[in-house]
Amino acid sequence: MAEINVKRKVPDWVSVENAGDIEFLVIDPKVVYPMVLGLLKQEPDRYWLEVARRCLTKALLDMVGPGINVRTLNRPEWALGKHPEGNGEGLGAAEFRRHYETIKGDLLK
Amino acid sequence: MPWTNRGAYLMLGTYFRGAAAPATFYMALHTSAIAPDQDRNIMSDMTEIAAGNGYTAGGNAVARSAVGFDVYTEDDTNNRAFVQCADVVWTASGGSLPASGGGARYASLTDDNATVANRQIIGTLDLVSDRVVSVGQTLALQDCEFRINT
Repeated sequence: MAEINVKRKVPDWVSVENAGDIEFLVIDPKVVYPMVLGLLKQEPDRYWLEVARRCLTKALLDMVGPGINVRTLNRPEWALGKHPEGNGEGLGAAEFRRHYETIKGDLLK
Repeated sequence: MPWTNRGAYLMLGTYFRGAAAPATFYMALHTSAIAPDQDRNIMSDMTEIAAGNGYTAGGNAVARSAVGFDVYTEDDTNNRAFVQCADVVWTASGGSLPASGGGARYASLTDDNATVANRQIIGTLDLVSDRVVSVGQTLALQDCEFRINT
């Protein structure tokens, strides 16, 4: 586990980057999206990618607490526009919490 | 949560000119009587739900802090940035919420002008349908995000 703010712990799928005064929790889509979509048992589309992003953000918030800065690395192959619409990114953002409840145990390990 | 033009203006002014930011933000609820758009810039441009039964005119406070806005995200894959608002929750007490009139169809984030009608709307959210909750039930806005595409 990496350390953030000395006392705080984050899992292996997150790295910590200091950019000036900002401490970023960095996630790499090519690592985290396959992991989360696997937990959700889904193929990537815009709906499920937004669900995955929001689940990852919520997991970081639950682990570290409010006031986090998240940076998603540039992996164009994981851009929403490269994937089918599915049920839509907006709906994915709205509905993600019920999906999060099913996988948070694995994300928070 | 889409920005209003005023919200974008205020944000830029705060960053580039050092204009004063609100000490506190508020999340307010509106009926479907007037739909929001980018030009509906102040509370009197829309119809707030009735006060009472757990809802105070002007809405609930959202701290201008890392607690009130608990996540910042730089998304280099999709070329955008977000700020996420902490959950805002109302609990109906003494009767249904809203207390009368139409249900809550829209939410807006505003500044903290002492006169509620004059509060500037920074962004609005469509709750998709009119929301009414019964005594003891909650109406919660969870993880609302403001986004800037670059």
